[in-house]
Amino acid sequence: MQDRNIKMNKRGEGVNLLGEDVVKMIISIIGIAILVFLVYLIYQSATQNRRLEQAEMTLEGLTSTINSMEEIEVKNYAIESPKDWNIVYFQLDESSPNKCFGKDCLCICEGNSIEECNKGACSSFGNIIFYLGDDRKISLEDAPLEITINKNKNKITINKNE
Amino acid sequence: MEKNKKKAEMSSTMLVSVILLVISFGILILVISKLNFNTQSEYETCHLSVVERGSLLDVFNLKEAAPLSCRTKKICVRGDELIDKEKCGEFENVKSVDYANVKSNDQVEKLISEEMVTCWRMMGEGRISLYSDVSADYGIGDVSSNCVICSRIAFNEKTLEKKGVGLKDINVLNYMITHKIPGQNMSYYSYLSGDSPVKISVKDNLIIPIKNETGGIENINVDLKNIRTEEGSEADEVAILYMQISTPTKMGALKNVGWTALGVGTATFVGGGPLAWIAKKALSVCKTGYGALACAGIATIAISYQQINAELNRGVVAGYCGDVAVGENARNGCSVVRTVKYDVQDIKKYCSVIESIP
Repeated sequence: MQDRNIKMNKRGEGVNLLGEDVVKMIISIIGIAILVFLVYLIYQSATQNRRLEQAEMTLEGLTSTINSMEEIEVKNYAIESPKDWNIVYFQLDESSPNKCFGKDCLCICEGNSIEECNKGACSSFGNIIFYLGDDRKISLEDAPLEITINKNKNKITINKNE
Repeated sequence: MEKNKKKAEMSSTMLVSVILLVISFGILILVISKLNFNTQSEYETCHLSVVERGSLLDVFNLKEAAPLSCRTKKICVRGDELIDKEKCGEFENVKSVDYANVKSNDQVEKLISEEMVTCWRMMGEGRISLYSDVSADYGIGDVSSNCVICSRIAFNEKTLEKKGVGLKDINVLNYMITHKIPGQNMSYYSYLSGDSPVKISVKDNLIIPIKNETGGIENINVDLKNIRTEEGSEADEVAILYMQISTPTKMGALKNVGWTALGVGTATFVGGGPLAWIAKKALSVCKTGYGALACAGIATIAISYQQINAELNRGVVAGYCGDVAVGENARNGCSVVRTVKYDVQDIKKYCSVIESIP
Protein backbone atom coordinates (compact mmCIF):
# COMPACT_ATOMS: atom_id res chain seq x y z
CA MET A 1 0.00 0.00 0.00
CA GLN A 2 2.85 2.28 0.98
CA ASP A 3 4.61 1.38 -2.24
CA ARG A 4 1.49 2.18 -4.25
CA ASN A 5 1.21 5.58 -2.55
CA ILE A 6 4.77 6.41 -3.41
CA LYS A 7 4.14 5.46 -7.03
CA MET A 8 1.06 7.61 -7.10
CA ASN A 9 3.01 10.47 -5.58
CA LYS A 10 5.72 9.99 -8.13
CA ARG A 11 3.16 10.02 -10.91
CA GLY A 12 1.62 13.11 -9.40
CA GLU A 13 4.99 14.87 -9.42
CA GLY A 14 5.43 13.81 -13.02
CA VAL A 15 2.11 15.35 -13.97
CA ASN A 16 3.07 18.57 -12.17
CA LEU A 17 6.38 18.72 -14.01
CA LEU A 18 4.67 18.27 -17.37
CA GLY A 19 2.31 21.13 -16.53
CA GLU A 20 5.27 23.31 -15.57
CA ASP A 21 6.95 22.43 -18.86
CA VAL A 22 3.84 23.39 -20.83
CA VAL A 23 3.65 26.75 -19.08
CA LYS A 24 7.35 27.36 -19.73
CA MET A 25 6.91 26.35 -23.36
CA ILE A 26 3.96 28.70 -23.81
CA ILE A 27 5.89 31.57 -22.19
CA SER A 28 8.87 30.82 -24.45
CA ILE A 29 6.69 30.74 -27.57
CA ILE A 30 5.02 34.02 -26.60
CA GLY A 31 8.45 35.54 -25.85
CA ILE A 32 9.87 34.37 -29.17
CA ALA A 33 6.77 35.63 -31.01
CA ILE A 34 7.16 39.06 -29.37
CA LEU A 35 10.85 39.14 -30.30
CA VAL A 36 10.16 38.09 -33.90
CA PHE A 37 7.47 40.79 -34.10
CA LEU A 38 9.89 43.36 -32.69
CA VAL A 39 12.59 42.41 -35.19
CA TYR A 40 9.97 42.54 -37.98
CA LEU A 41 8.90 46.03 -36.88
CA ILE A 42 12.50 47.27 -36.87
CA TYR A 43 13.07 45.66 -40.29
CA GLN A 44 9.89 47.20 -41.72
CA SER A 45 10.59 50.63 -40.31
CA ALA A 46 14.18 50.60 -41.58
CA THR A 47 13.34 49.51 -45.13
CA GLN A 48 10.31 51.84 -45.32
CA ASN A 49 12.37 54.85 -44.23
CA ARG A 50 15.02 54.18 -46.87
CA ARG A 51 12.43 53.72 -49.60
CA LEU A 52 10.58 56.85 -48.57
CA GLU A 53 13.82 58.79 -48.79
CA GLN A 54 14.45 57.32 -52.25
CA ALA A 55 10.90 58.24 -53.27
CA GLU A 56 11.32 61.82 -52.02
CA MET A 57 14.56 62.30 -53.92
CA THR A 58 13.16 60.72 -57.08
CA LEU A 59 10.11 62.98 -56.92
CA GLU A 60 12.33 66.00 -56.31
CA GLY A 61 14.34 65.16 -59.43
CA LEU A 62 11.20 64.56 -61.45
CA THR A 63 9.69 67.85 -60.24
CA SER A 64 12.78 69.87 -61.16
CA THR A 65 12.92 68.20 -64.57
CA ILE A 66 9.26 69.02 -65.24
CA ASN A 67 9.68 72.58 -64.00
CA SER A 68 12.68 73.11 -66.28
CA MET A 69 10.83 71.94 -69.40
CA GLU A 70 9.72 74.27 -72.16
CA GLU A 71 6.01 74.79 -72.92
CA ILE A 72 6.14 72.00 -75.47
CA GLU A 73 8.92 69.49 -74.97
CA VAL A 74 9.63 65.77 -74.70
CA LYS A 75 12.28 64.52 -72.26
CA ASN A 76 13.51 61.17 -71.00
CA TYR A 77 14.06 60.74 -67.29
CA ALA A 78 15.80 57.87 -65.48
CA ILE A 79 14.18 56.56 -62.31
CA GLU A 80 16.53 54.50 -60.14
CA SER A 81 14.35 53.69 -57.17
CA PRO A 82 12.32 52.76 -55.10
CA LYS A 83 11.80 49.42 -56.79
CA ASP A 84 8.27 47.99 -56.65
CA TRP A 85 6.63 51.31 -55.73
CA ASN A 86 4.30 53.32 -58.00
CA ILE A 87 3.95 56.81 -59.41
CA VAL A 88 0.31 57.73 -58.82
CA TYR A 89 -1.67 60.79 -59.93
CA PHE A 90 -4.49 62.23 -57.80
CA GLN A 91 -6.88 64.75 -59.28
CA LEU A 92 -8.46 67.68 -57.49
CA ASP A 93 -12.01 66.39 -57.87
CA GLU A 94 -11.36 63.14 -56.02
CA SER A 95 -10.21 62.26 -52.53
CA SER A 96 -6.44 62.45 -52.28
CA PRO A 97 -3.67 61.96 -49.72
CA ASN A 98 -3.26 64.61 -46.99
CA LYS A 99 0.13 65.48 -48.45
CA CYS A 100 -1.60 66.87 -51.56
CA PHE A 101 -3.31 69.62 -49.49
CA GLY A 102 -6.41 69.44 -51.66
CA LYS A 103 -4.56 70.01 -54.94
CA ASP A 104 -3.78 67.83 -57.95
CA CYS A 105 -0.66 65.90 -57.11
CA LEU A 106 1.82 63.31 -58.17
CA CYS A 107 2.87 60.78 -55.56
CA ILE A 108 5.41 57.98 -55.33
CA CYS A 109 4.03 55.39 -52.95
CA GLU A 110 4.22 51.71 -52.13
CA GLY A 111 0.72 50.95 -53.39
CA ASN A 112 -1.79 53.20 -55.08
CA SER A 113 -4.38 53.78 -52.37
CA ILE A 114 -4.77 57.02 -50.43
CA GLU A 115 -3.66 55.33 -47.19
CA GLU A 116 -0.49 54.04 -48.82
CA CYS A 117 0.21 57.38 -50.49
CA ASN A 118 -0.16 59.15 -47.14
CA LYS A 119 3.02 57.31 -46.22
CA GLY A 120 4.68 58.12 -49.55
CA ALA A 121 6.11 61.24 -51.19
CA CYS A 122 3.79 63.71 -52.94
CA SER A 123 4.20 66.93 -54.86
CA SER A 124 1.71 69.25 -56.52
CA PHE A 125 2.35 71.04 -59.81
CA GLY A 126 -0.15 73.90 -59.89
CA ASN A 127 -2.47 73.73 -62.85
CA ILE A 128 -0.62 70.98 -64.71
CA ILE A 129 -2.72 67.93 -65.55
CA PHE A 130 -1.00 64.55 -65.78
CA TYR A 131 -1.88 61.51 -67.79
CA LEU A 132 -0.20 58.30 -66.64
CA GLY A 133 -2.24 55.82 -68.62
CA ASP A 134 -5.69 54.41 -67.96
CA ASP A 135 -4.96 53.18 -64.45
CA ARG A 136 -3.38 56.53 -63.52
CA LYS A 137 -0.21 54.94 -62.19
CA ILE A 138 3.19 53.84 -63.37
CA SER A 139 4.63 50.79 -61.70
CA LEU A 140 8.30 50.93 -60.71
CA GLU A 141 8.57 47.17 -60.30
CA ASP A 142 11.29 46.98 -62.95
CA ALA A 143 13.28 49.99 -61.70
CA PRO A 144 15.81 51.26 -62.72
CA LEU A 145 13.73 52.37 -65.66
CA GLU A 146 13.29 55.26 -68.04
CA ILE A 147 10.18 57.34 -68.51
CA THR A 148 9.27 59.77 -71.26
CA ILE A 149 7.79 63.06 -70.13
CA ASN A 150 5.77 64.68 -72.87
CA LYS A 151 4.81 68.23 -71.99
CA ASN A 152 2.24 70.10 -74.01
CA LYS A 153 1.47 73.38 -72.27
CA ASN A 154 -0.32 72.42 -69.05
CA LYS A 155 -0.79 68.77 -69.97
CA ILE A 156 1.88 66.20 -69.25
CA THR A 157 1.83 62.59 -70.41
CA ILE A 158 4.24 60.21 -68.71
CA ASN A 159 5.00 56.85 -70.30
CA LYS A 160 7.31 54.09 -69.25
CA ASN A 161 9.91 53.25 -71.90
CA GLU A 162 10.12 49.55 -72.67
CA MET B 1 12.11 19.04 -6.29
CA GLU B 2 14.75 21.56 -5.19
CA LYS B 3 16.79 20.70 -8.28
CA ASN B 4 13.77 21.26 -10.59
CA LYS B 5 13.03 24.57 -8.92
CA LYS B 6 16.61 25.64 -9.49
CA LYS B 7 16.40 24.49 -13.10
CA ALA B 8 13.19 26.45 -13.65
CA GLU B 9 14.74 29.52 -12.04
CA MET B 10 17.76 29.21 -14.31
CA SER B 11 15.71 28.84 -17.45
CA SER B 12 13.51 31.83 -16.60
CA THR B 13 16.62 33.90 -15.82
CA MET B 14 18.06 32.87 -19.15
CA LEU B 15 14.84 33.71 -20.94
CA VAL B 16 14.73 37.16 -19.36
CA SER B 17 18.39 37.72 -20.26
CA VAL B 18 17.77 36.73 -23.88
CA ILE B 19 14.72 39.00 -24.09
CA LEU B 20 16.65 41.89 -22.57
CA LEU B 21 19.56 41.26 -24.92
CA VAL B 22 17.40 41.25 -28.03
CA ILE B 23 15.40 44.31 -26.90
CA SER B 24 18.61 46.24 -26.25
CA PHE B 25 19.92 45.15 -29.65
CA GLY B 26 16.69 46.39 -31.23
CA ILE B 27 16.88 49.71 -29.39
CA LEU B 28 20.54 50.07 -30.43
CA ILE B 29 19.65 49.54 -34.09
CA LEU B 30 16.74 51.98 -33.82
CA VAL B 31 18.94 54.62 -32.15
CA ILE B 32 21.68 54.20 -34.75
CA SER B 33 19.26 54.39 -37.65
CA LYS B 34 17.46 57.40 -36.16
CA LEU B 35 20.64 59.30 -35.32
CA ASN B 36 21.03 62.54 -37.15
CA PHE B 37 24.13 62.14 -39.26
CA ASN B 38 23.91 65.61 -40.78
CA THR B 39 27.02 66.72 -38.98
CA GLN B 40 29.02 64.02 -40.73
CA SER B 41 30.09 64.03 -44.31
CA GLU B 42 28.13 62.00 -46.84
CA TYR B 43 31.16 59.74 -47.09
CA GLU B 44 31.23 58.97 -43.36
CA THR B 45 27.48 58.50 -43.18
CA CYS B 46 27.55 56.01 -46.02
CA HIS B 47 30.63 54.21 -44.75
CA LEU B 48 29.14 53.89 -41.25
CA SER B 49 25.95 52.40 -42.65
CA VAL B 50 28.06 49.98 -44.73
CA VAL B 51 29.97 48.85 -41.64
CA GLU B 52 26.76 48.61 -39.64
CA ARG B 53 25.15 46.43 -42.27
CA GLY B 54 28.28 44.35 -42.70
CA SER B 55 28.23 43.49 -39.01
CA LEU B 56 24.81 41.87 -39.26
CA LEU B 57 24.46 38.16 -39.85
CA ASP B 58 23.87 36.79 -43.34
CA VAL B 59 20.62 35.15 -42.25
CA PHE B 60 16.93 35.77 -42.95
CA ASN B 61 17.65 38.95 -44.96
CA LEU B 62 18.66 40.56 -41.66
CA LYS B 63 20.99 42.93 -43.49
CA GLU B 64 17.96 44.71 -44.95
CA ALA B 65 17.18 45.96 -41.45
CA ALA B 66 20.20 48.25 -41.63
CA PRO B 67 19.57 50.51 -44.63
CA LEU B 68 22.49 51.98 -46.53
CA SER B 69 22.60 55.75 -46.11
CA CYS B 70 24.48 56.40 -49.32
CA ARG B 71 23.52 59.38 -51.42
CA THR B 72 24.56 59.78 -55.01
CA LYS B 73 27.02 62.65 -55.31
CA LYS B 74 26.27 64.85 -58.30
CA ILE B 75 29.31 66.48 -59.82
CA CYS B 76 29.25 69.05 -62.56
CA VAL B 77 32.60 69.37 -64.31
CA ARG B 78 33.05 72.77 -65.96
CA GLY B 79 35.80 75.03 -67.16
CA ASP B 80 37.39 77.17 -64.47
CA GLU B 81 35.95 80.57 -65.39
CA LEU B 82 36.10 83.61 -63.14
CA ILE B 83 32.74 84.89 -64.31
CA ASP B 84 29.99 83.29 -66.38
CA LYS B 85 30.06 80.10 -64.37
CA GLU B 86 27.64 77.72 -66.05
CA LYS B 87 25.74 74.72 -64.78
CA CYS B 88 25.46 71.27 -66.29
CA GLY B 89 22.24 70.67 -68.19
CA GLU B 90 21.66 67.34 -66.41
CA PHE B 91 21.59 69.05 -63.01
CA GLU B 92 19.80 72.21 -64.08
CA ASN B 93 17.44 72.52 -61.10
CA VAL B 94 19.07 70.04 -58.77
CA LYS B 95 19.82 71.51 -55.34
CA SER B 96 22.93 69.73 -54.11
CA VAL B 97 25.46 69.73 -56.92
CA ASP B 98 29.22 69.80 -56.41
CA TYR B 99 31.03 71.87 -59.01
CA ALA B 100 34.50 70.90 -60.17
CA ASN B 101 36.16 73.80 -61.93
CA VAL B 102 38.94 72.38 -64.08
CA LYS B 103 41.68 73.84 -66.25
CA SER B 104 43.13 70.73 -67.87
CA ASN B 105 42.44 67.16 -68.96
CA ASP B 106 44.64 66.02 -66.12
CA GLN B 107 42.24 67.46 -63.58
CA VAL B 108 39.27 65.66 -65.12
CA GLU B 109 41.20 62.38 -65.08
CA LYS B 110 42.20 62.96 -61.47
CA LEU B 111 38.62 63.71 -60.46
CA ILE B 112 37.27 60.49 -61.99
CA SER B 113 40.13 58.38 -60.58
CA GLU B 114 39.56 59.81 -57.11
CA GLU B 115 35.83 59.25 -57.29
CA MET B 116 36.44 55.59 -58.15
CA VAL B 117 38.84 55.10 -55.25
CA THR B 118 36.52 56.96 -52.87
CA CYS B 119 33.58 54.81 -53.95
CA TRP B 120 35.56 51.63 -53.42
CA ARG B 121 36.75 52.69 -49.96
CA MET B 122 33.37 53.98 -48.90
CA MET B 123 31.76 50.65 -49.74
CA GLY B 124 34.27 48.66 -47.73
CA GLU B 125 36.77 47.71 -50.47
CA GLY B 126 34.76 44.63 -51.42
CA ARG B 127 35.55 43.01 -48.08
CA ILE B 128 32.14 43.57 -46.56
CA SER B 129 29.21 41.40 -47.54
CA LEU B 130 26.38 43.88 -47.91
CA TYR B 131 23.57 41.79 -49.24
CA SER B 132 22.04 38.52 -48.22
CA ASP B 133 19.24 36.86 -50.09
CA VAL B 134 17.94 33.97 -48.09
CA SER B 135 16.20 32.26 -51.01
CA ALA B 136 19.27 32.48 -53.27
CA ASP B 137 21.48 31.23 -50.42
CA TYR B 138 19.37 28.09 -50.27
CA GLY B 139 19.39 27.79 -54.05
CA ILE B 140 15.62 28.22 -54.36
CA GLY B 141 15.27 31.84 -55.44
CA ASP B 142 16.76 34.19 -58.00
CA VAL B 143 20.00 36.00 -57.37
CA SER B 144 20.06 39.76 -57.82
CA SER B 145 22.81 42.27 -58.39
CA ASN B 146 22.77 45.21 -55.96
CA CYS B 147 24.30 48.58 -56.69
CA VAL B 148 25.06 51.86 -55.05
CA ILE B 149 25.55 54.74 -57.45
CA CYS B 150 28.34 56.65 -55.72
CA SER B 151 28.55 59.56 -58.13
CA ARG B 152 27.10 61.00 -61.28
CA ILE B 153 29.47 63.17 -63.26
CA ALA B 154 28.15 65.54 -65.90
CA PHE B 155 30.18 67.86 -68.12
CA ASN B 156 29.63 71.38 -69.32
CA GLU B 157 31.41 71.13 -72.65
CA LYS B 158 31.08 74.78 -73.57
CA THR B 159 33.13 76.04 -70.64
CA LEU B 160 35.50 73.08 -70.83
CA GLU B 161 36.29 73.83 -74.45
CA LYS B 162 37.06 77.44 -73.54
CA LYS B 163 39.73 76.11 -71.19
CA GLY B 164 41.07 73.74 -73.84
CA VAL B 165 39.75 70.62 -72.10
CA GLY B 166 38.80 68.10 -74.77
CA LEU B 167 36.75 65.24 -73.40
CA LYS B 168 37.67 63.01 -76.29
CA ASP B 169 41.29 63.14 -75.16
CA ILE B 170 40.57 62.06 -71.61
CA ASN B 171 42.45 58.89 -70.69
CA VAL B 172 41.61 57.86 -67.17
CA LEU B 173 43.38 54.53 -67.40
CA ASN B 174 46.68 56.16 -68.27
CA TYR B 175 46.23 58.59 -65.40
CA MET B 176 45.52 55.76 -62.99
CA ILE B 177 48.63 53.89 -64.07
CA THR B 178 50.97 56.86 -64.02
CA HIS B 179 49.78 58.74 -60.93
CA LYS B 180 49.98 57.90 -57.27
CA ILE B 181 47.07 58.24 -54.86
CA PRO B 182 47.71 61.37 -52.75
CA GLY B 183 49.44 60.40 -49.50
CA GLN B 184 50.13 56.85 -50.62
CA ASN B 185 53.02 55.20 -52.30
CA MET B 186 51.01 53.39 -54.95
CA SER B 187 49.24 54.32 -58.13
CA TYR B 188 45.46 54.35 -58.46
CA TYR B 189 45.80 51.40 -60.77
CA SER B 190 48.00 49.39 -58.36
CA TYR B 191 45.54 50.08 -55.57
CA LEU B 192 42.53 49.07 -57.60
CA SER B 193 44.11 45.96 -59.07
CA GLY B 194 46.63 45.04 -56.41
CA ASP B 195 46.33 42.59 -53.56
CA SER B 196 42.95 43.85 -52.43
CA PRO B 197 40.00 41.89 -53.82
CA VAL B 198 39.14 44.93 -55.88
CA LYS B 199 37.95 44.79 -59.44
CA ILE B 200 37.42 47.81 -61.59
CA SER B 201 35.64 48.23 -64.82
CA VAL B 202 35.51 51.53 -66.57
CA LYS B 203 34.26 50.10 -69.81
CA ASP B 204 34.66 49.59 -72.87
CA ASN B 205 37.37 48.55 -75.33
CA LEU B 206 40.70 48.42 -73.67
CA ILE B 207 41.32 45.13 -71.89
CA ILE B 208 44.33 44.88 -69.62
CA PRO B 209 45.32 41.33 -68.72
CA ILE B 210 46.72 41.12 -65.20
CA LYS B 211 47.91 38.19 -63.13
CA ASN B 212 45.76 37.33 -60.14
CA GLU B 213 46.90 35.81 -56.87
CA THR B 214 46.61 32.25 -58.14
CA GLY B 215 48.67 33.03 -61.19
CA GLY B 216 45.68 33.04 -63.53
CA ILE B 217 44.96 35.90 -65.89
CA GLU B 218 42.17 38.34 -65.21
CA ASN B 219 41.07 41.00 -67.58
CA ILE B 220 40.59 44.48 -66.29
CA ASN B 221 38.48 46.42 -68.62
CA VAL B 222 39.39 50.07 -68.52
CA ASP B 223 38.49 52.85 -70.87
CA LEU B 224 36.42 55.94 -70.79
CA LYS B 225 34.74 55.58 -74.09
CA ASN B 226 31.62 56.85 -72.42
CA ILE B 227 32.70 60.42 -72.17
CA ARG B 228 34.76 60.48 -75.35
CA THR B 229 32.41 62.28 -77.59
CA GLU B 230 32.22 62.66 -81.31
CA GLU B 231 32.67 66.14 -82.68
CA GLY B 232 29.52 68.16 -82.13
CA SER B 233 27.69 65.66 -79.94
CA GLU B 234 27.00 66.21 -76.25
CA ALA B 235 29.17 64.56 -73.63
CA ASP B 236 27.43 61.74 -71.84
CA GLU B 237 26.91 61.82 -68.14
CA VAL B 238 28.95 59.18 -66.32
CA ALA B 239 27.95 57.13 -63.28
CA ILE B 240 30.42 55.55 -60.92
CA LEU B 241 28.73 52.64 -59.27
CA TYR B 242 29.58 49.92 -56.83
CA MET B 243 28.12 46.54 -57.65
CA GLN B 244 28.06 43.46 -55.47
CA ILE B 245 26.67 40.06 -56.30
CA SER B 246 27.38 36.60 -54.97
CA THR B 247 25.86 33.17 -54.89
CA PRO B 248 26.84 29.94 -53.15
CA THR B 249 28.20 26.94 -55.04
CA LYS B 250 25.81 24.05 -55.67
CA MET B 251 27.40 22.20 -52.76
CA GLY B 252 27.29 25.37 -50.68
CA ALA B 253 23.55 25.77 -51.29
CA LEU B 254 23.03 22.12 -50.34
CA LYS B 255 25.11 22.61 -47.20
CA ASN B 256 23.10 25.71 -46.25
CA VAL B 257 19.89 23.69 -46.50
CA GLY B 258 21.48 20.76 -44.63
CA TRP B 259 22.77 22.87 -41.74
CA THR B 260 19.48 24.73 -41.42
CA ALA B 261 17.51 21.47 -41.49
CA LEU B 262 19.85 20.01 -38.89
CA GLY B 263 19.53 23.07 -36.67
CA VAL B 264 15.75 23.31 -36.96
CA GLY B 265 15.39 19.51 -36.57
CA THR B 266 17.53 19.40 -33.44
CA ALA B 267 15.74 22.39 -31.91
CA THR B 268 12.37 20.79 -32.71
CA PHE B 269 13.22 17.43 -31.16
CA VAL B 270 15.00 18.88 -28.14
CA GLY B 271 12.31 21.46 -27.60
CA GLY B 272 9.52 18.88 -27.94
CA GLY B 273 5.93 20.06 -28.27
CA PRO B 274 3.54 19.79 -31.22
CA LEU B 275 6.22 20.46 -33.85
CA ALA B 276 8.28 17.53 -32.62
CA TRP B 277 5.17 15.37 -32.71
CA ILE B 278 4.48 16.33 -36.34
CA ALA B 279 8.14 15.75 -37.27
CA LYS B 280 8.15 12.34 -35.62
CA LYS B 281 4.94 11.37 -37.45
CA ALA B 282 6.42 12.51 -40.78
CA LEU B 283 9.57 10.50 -40.11
CA SER B 284 7.56 7.42 -39.18
CA VAL B 285 5.67 7.72 -42.53
CA CYS B 286 9.02 7.82 -44.34
CA LYS B 287 10.04 4.60 -42.62
CA THR B 288 7.21 2.54 -44.17
CA GLY B 289 7.61 0.89 -47.62
CA TYR B 290 5.61 3.23 -49.91
CA GLY B 291 6.24 6.15 -47.57
CA ALA B 292 9.99 5.69 -47.96
CA LEU B 293 9.60 5.68 -51.74
CA ALA B 294 7.47 8.83 -51.67
CA CYS B 295 9.89 10.58 -49.29
CA ALA B 296 12.88 9.60 -51.47
CA GLY B 297 11.02 10.86 -54.56
CA ILE B 298 10.15 14.21 -52.96
CA ALA B 299 13.71 14.63 -51.68
CA THR B 300 15.17 13.84 -55.12
CA ILE B 301 12.87 16.31 -56.89
CA ALA B 302 13.58 19.02 -54.28
CA ILE B 303 17.35 18.54 -54.42
CA SER B 304 17.35 18.43 -58.24
CA TYR B 305 15.33 21.66 -58.42
CA GLN B 306 17.64 23.31 -55.90
CA GLN B 307 20.80 22.20 -57.72
CA ILE B 308 19.51 23.29 -61.14
CA ASN B 309 18.44 26.66 -59.72
CA ALA B 310 21.79 27.14 -57.94
CA GLU B 311 23.59 26.40 -61.22
CA LEU B 312 21.37 28.86 -63.11
CA ASN B 313 22.10 31.51 -60.46
CA ARG B 314 25.82 30.91 -60.90
CA GLY B 315 25.37 31.45 -64.62
CA VAL B 316 23.60 34.75 -63.95
CA VAL B 317 26.39 35.83 -61.57
CA ALA B 318 29.03 34.93 -64.18
CA GLY B 319 27.16 37.20 -66.60
CA TYR B 320 27.54 40.12 -64.18
CA CYS B 321 31.15 39.40 -63.20
CA GLY B 322 32.54 37.89 -66.40
CA ASP B 323 34.40 41.06 -67.38
CA VAL B 324 36.37 41.32 -64.15
CA ALA B 325 36.92 37.71 -63.13
CA VAL B 326 37.32 34.37 -64.83
CA GLY B 327 36.13 30.81 -64.30
CA GLU B 328 34.80 29.80 -60.91
CA ASN B 329 35.65 33.21 -59.44
CA ALA B 330 33.25 34.87 -61.86
CA ARG B 331 30.56 32.33 -60.96
CA ASN B 332 30.99 32.89 -57.22
CA GLY B 333 30.44 36.62 -57.48
CA CYS B 334 32.28 39.89 -57.34
CA SER B 335 32.41 43.38 -55.94
CA VAL B 336 33.20 45.92 -58.61
CA VAL B 337 33.50 49.64 -59.10
CA ARG B 338 32.18 50.38 -62.55
CA THR B 339 32.10 53.51 -64.59
CA VAL B 340 29.15 53.45 -66.94
CA LYS B 341 27.17 55.88 -68.98
CA TYR B 342 24.32 57.27 -66.84
CA ASP B 343 21.68 55.61 -68.87
CA VAL B 344 19.03 53.13 -67.75
CA GLN B 345 20.03 50.53 -70.34
CA ASP B 346 23.68 50.68 -69.27
CA ILE B 347 22.89 50.65 -65.57
CA LYS B 348 20.44 47.78 -65.97
CA LYS B 349 23.18 45.64 -67.46
CA TYR B 350 24.79 45.59 -64.01
CA CYS B 351 22.16 46.48 -61.45
CA SER B 352 18.86 44.82 -60.68
CA VAL B 353 18.40 46.83 -57.49
CA ILE B 354 19.79 50.29 -56.70
CA GLU B 355 20.18 50.94 -52.99
CA SER B 356 21.52 54.46 -53.01
CA ILE B 357 19.42 57.56 -52.50
CA PRO B 358 19.25 59.45 -55.83
